[in-house]
Amino acid sequence: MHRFANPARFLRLTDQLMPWLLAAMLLALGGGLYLALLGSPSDYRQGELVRVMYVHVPAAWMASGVYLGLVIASAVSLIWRHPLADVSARTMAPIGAVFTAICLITGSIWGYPAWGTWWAWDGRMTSVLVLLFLYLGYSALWSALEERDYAARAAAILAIIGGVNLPIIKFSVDWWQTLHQGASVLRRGGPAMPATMLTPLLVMWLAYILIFAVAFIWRMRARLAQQKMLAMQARADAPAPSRAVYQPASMAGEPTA
Amino acid sequence: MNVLVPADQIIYYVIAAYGVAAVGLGGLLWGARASAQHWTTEVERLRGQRMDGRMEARDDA
Repeated sequence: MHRFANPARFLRLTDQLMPWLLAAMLLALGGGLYLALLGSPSDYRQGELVRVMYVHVPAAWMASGVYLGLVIASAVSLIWRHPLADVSARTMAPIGAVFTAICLITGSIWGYPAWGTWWAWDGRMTSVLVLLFLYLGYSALWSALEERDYAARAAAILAIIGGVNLPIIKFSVDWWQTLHQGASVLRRGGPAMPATMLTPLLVMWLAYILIFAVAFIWRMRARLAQQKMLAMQARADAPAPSRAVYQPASMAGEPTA
Repeated sequence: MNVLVPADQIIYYVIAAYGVAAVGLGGLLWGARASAQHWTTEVERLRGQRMDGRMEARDDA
């Protein structure tokens, strides 16, 4: 694992991987949108409104999944001090925040016609809002602390403590009476929806995963290039060490012009 | 149908949800790509400057 998590190797590997990832992303997104908008049936209770599910639910899964990745990367950063771990954790945070924001906004848009309200302070919605604040707080902490190692440690601890919110999000619909419906895919006894709806949902989820992968790689490349530039600038600004001037032996003793 | 808005208005909610997702994900990808290009260009520029500086120093010597 550590062998592959080397910045130079990461850049080489992603150079080769990127065209394939982009092609797979466009393919999954095109197929997913086709299935979600045209290739799946309307719901017998919600009618066409059910199509909001295909953009809302994968965003919710990604919001939690990316945070789990953030917790793992933070733990690796704290335990092994791996150079790419805190860079990748820091890179994931804004991407996860975007997925969480999409989940909250599309959920609200779905909620109004279905429940009669844009928002309710119930367990699921509130815990996902807390997740958004965790993402924003994590990024803000990185920006607020100037000393890099200190910022990495503080942000990693915050991320790991915030991980307690993940089971709360998942089980909030079981633990409390909520307006939000219970789990219908990731639950005991298998998915409670027909294959005609489950397939577009899973294809859209795959598209979201590939969007995450592409955005993550681009942002990682930006972050690594930024670090490299700062290191180059620091080297350039540092006072030059006094060095003995090299003079070939044949020139030694010759008068200078 | 168990929806609290008139059936002919549902399409607007669906369009709004897909619009939000498109803007969010499109913005995410656009921003990530622009950021990668910007910092890669900056590194190349700085590397070029250092190379020029080294060549000038060598010419001066």
